[in-house]
Amino acid sequence: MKPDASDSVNEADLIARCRRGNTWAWDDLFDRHYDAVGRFVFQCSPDFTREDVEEICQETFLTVVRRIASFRGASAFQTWLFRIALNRTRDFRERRNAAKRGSGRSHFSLDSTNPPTGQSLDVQSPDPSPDDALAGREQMALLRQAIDRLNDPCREIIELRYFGDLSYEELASVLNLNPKTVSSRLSKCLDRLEGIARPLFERENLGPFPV
Amino acid sequence: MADLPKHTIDDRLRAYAHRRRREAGGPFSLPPDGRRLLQAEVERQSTVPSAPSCPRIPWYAWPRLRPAWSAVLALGALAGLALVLRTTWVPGRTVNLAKTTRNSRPAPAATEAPSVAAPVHPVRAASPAPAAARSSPASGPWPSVVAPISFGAPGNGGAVRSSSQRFVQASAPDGINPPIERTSTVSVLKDFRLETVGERFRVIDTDGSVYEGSPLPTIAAAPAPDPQAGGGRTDRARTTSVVGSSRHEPLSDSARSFSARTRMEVEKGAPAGEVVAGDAAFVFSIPFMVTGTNRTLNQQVVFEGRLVLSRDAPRSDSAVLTSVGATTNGLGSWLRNSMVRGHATVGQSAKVEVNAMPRVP
Repeated sequence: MKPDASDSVNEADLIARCRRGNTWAWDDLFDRHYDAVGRFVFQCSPDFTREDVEEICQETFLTVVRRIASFRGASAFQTWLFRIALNRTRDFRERRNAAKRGSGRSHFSLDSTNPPTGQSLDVQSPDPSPDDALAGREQMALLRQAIDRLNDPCREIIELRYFGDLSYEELASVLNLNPKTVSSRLSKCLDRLEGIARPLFERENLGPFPV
Repeated sequence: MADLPKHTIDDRLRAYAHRRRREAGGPFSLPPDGRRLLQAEVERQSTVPSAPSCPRIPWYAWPRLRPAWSAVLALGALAGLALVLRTTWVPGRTVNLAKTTRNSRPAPAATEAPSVAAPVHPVRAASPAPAAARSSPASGPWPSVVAPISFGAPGNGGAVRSSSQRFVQASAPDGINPPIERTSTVSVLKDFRLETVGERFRVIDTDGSVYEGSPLPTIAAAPAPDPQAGGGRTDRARTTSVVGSSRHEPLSDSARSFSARTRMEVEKGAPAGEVVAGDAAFVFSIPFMVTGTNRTLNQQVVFEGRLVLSRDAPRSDSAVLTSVGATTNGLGSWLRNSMVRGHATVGQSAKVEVNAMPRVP
């Protein structure tokens, strides 16, 4: 029988039951953390769609199911989950970029008709609107481009700090660092990111994108 | 946590995150097909057996491993047994499991006798073990007690000690030892010094002649004869309990200076050994033989004598009676209360009776 959602089951007990293979516990775990992981993944790239997020989240939770035994409890479970999601997001983006370079994506004509129905495809644009695109899409892409030029430690700590909204203590626990080390590393990484992003924005002559 | 220094990129990052959260729309929920996929993975993971901590040996390998393990265990057991035997087994030694005494005393009688009456007489190790069986029946109610001897002082628990005492020939009354011809003209062993060094005896004569030798085998316990059983006084009774060696020495008149008590008894006309029998008075002797060349006569001298010790010796020295080695090592106080008797053969036939008393300087 599925336990009532109102049960105040602490996370440690929930994880313990998940380790024993309790399917209800796993369902509870998915429901607790899926939205947070989805939002975190959605911020990791300006061109991610909800379908992309679902795919990444599914891979993330698959990894969690397989590696739940390796969770030692040194950090909060969600922090550990965000780090897995970050790795899965990076893998997803690398696969997609590889597909773009190798022409893995099939192209189709918007004017072509669907042979079975004889109707033309009405493909919805992923862009929010033309105004938003004009105002900030390019800036967001440039920022993402600048982040991608960082090394792995800097990219990871910036993404966890700004997209996962983790505190310094949470960053310290998930990265196995001293909080002071987290502060200094984040400062250095921001300096580095700023040094990368400035010429990009100057070249495009773009100011800060509107919020 | 202190705030970081202001970075312009920080504003861009925060604006980016805020915009993406807003673009995300409604909450993300796990689609049903995704949930089924994950639950299937959960089921699969829960049915997968955990990795064993150590590799299991397949059942078909056991018949091959069993003889190998048996051989290893058998070899180990044999090696252990060989090691134990090597460290504990001594050829010819029998293990007496019933006797666990630490002392090397042979029998309870040996431990009790000195405190009661009979002293334990030293016996050389070379003597046959059942020496007690050879004791004379005439020894009366006192059993002869033979103590095991570890001849040789160093091995007997102490360093070699030497003792010496000067002895002078005493004039014996008439009728004593008539078989032995007295050769007073021969100046041999009239005044000499007896030294015991370890298990060796050394006699240094007046002219510097040195005669050396060692104790003779055996000594016997010889309690004084019971006056009642012996039918009164047994004057000059000489009891030989062991052939040629174990003797009960009655005190002669030459022992008048032997000790105060003995002297008193002798003055009464009774042999000391007999008189003091009721008081468990005992003497015992250590026979010895020394040989050497007399410088004055330039002749070979063979002196067979006995060092007769009195029971009046210090009680603290009673422990030295447990062995010849210990006796000869600890004779310092005994020699001052002893006498030397015997006869010396000078040359081929001349015999000299020796009846010497200690001389106090």
